[in-house]
Amino acid sequence: METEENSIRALKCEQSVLSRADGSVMFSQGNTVVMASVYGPLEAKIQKELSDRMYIELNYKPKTGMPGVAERGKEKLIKTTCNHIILTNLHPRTAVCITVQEMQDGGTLLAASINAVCLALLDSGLPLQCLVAAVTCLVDKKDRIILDPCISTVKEGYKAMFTFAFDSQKYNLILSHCEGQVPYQLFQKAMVLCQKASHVIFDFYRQAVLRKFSNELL
Amino acid sequence: MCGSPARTNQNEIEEEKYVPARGDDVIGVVTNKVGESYKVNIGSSEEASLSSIAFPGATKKNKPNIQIGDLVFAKLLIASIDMEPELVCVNSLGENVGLGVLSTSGFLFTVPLHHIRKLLNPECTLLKSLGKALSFEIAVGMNGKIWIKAKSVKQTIALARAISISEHMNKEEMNKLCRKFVDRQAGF
Repeated sequence: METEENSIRALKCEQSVLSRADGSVMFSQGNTVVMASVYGPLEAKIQKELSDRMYIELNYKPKTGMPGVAERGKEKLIKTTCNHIILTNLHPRTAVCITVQEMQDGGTLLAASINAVCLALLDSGLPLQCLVAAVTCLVDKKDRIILDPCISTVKEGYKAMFTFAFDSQKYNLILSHCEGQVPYQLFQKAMVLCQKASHVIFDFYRQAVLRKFSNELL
Repeated sequence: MCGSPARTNQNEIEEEKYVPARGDDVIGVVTNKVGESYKVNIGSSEEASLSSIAFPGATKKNKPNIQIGDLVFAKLLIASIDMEPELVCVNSLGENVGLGVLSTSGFLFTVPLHHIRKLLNPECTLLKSLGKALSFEIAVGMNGKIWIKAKSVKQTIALARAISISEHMNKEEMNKLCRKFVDRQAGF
């Protein structure tokens, strides 16, 4: 059982790409490109209004076709992460509308979507408890752990694929999404590897924010 | 490698959403009349309400004539996360303090919130320097809206442009901008 200590693919982002959204980002992780937008706090519809918290509405749009069950699954996972990081108690009876649009599928859509949503939330100025970084890793048929696989590696087949999301304060696990069957030790190894990789993503967020505010001077 | 923020001047307008804070002076657009009060859009998640007798010298029999679509410069009396924001155009003694309906011969434009805070900072001399070149009336709303009225349309637009483009400038660049502005207005 070897572990391939790959690094995650190149990260790129452009913030404030949409003029009408409160926060938006075009984010790419290798060949996977995702656009996320945040509108909020907005006035919530009466049926969705929560008296003590902000209601989070999340839409995931695939590149082609109508959103189906797989998209609803992704929406639920990303929404769980958002509920953890957004300070919803500061805006009761309002709603925030987050939209994730798949631009190009290069392998790790769920992780890329979570990272894009985090950057869009940073861009929008909504109060956050912490940031989140998501990393995917794959255990292939030869029991090798591959970090941040590209679409060709995924298509070759795998024993299991994990997506983990970590918070920025203590690098604790916020979300874990697993497909497949592996022994527990392998799962633990994968999680530790992903946790180390999440530091790279947090550094990237820091750089993105520094670049954005480098022009603000008096 | 991160992309640089979008630098198209007209598009980088709404970055941060305004969150109402008590005591802020804001510029709002009247959207509706509900009973004895008006609903005013101040750019926050909820529309604010402005009572029709919260004006200097207003009584139940003598209310100001406000139409839907009018601009008002008002102060936030109530602004909490749990309640609808409430605006007033008087101070606590009922006196006129420069708030109220803004005339339609002025020009309203939007500016990012960080820029508003920069302009209202006592250390920022941009508005004072522009005032030396031209005389104009200005209302700066903490919700990102600025209303300007100068003697002619050309002057109004020139002032609005000067304020918009000074968003990313530091002190020296702003002084340079003001000097250029003064020169242009003087005809050079």
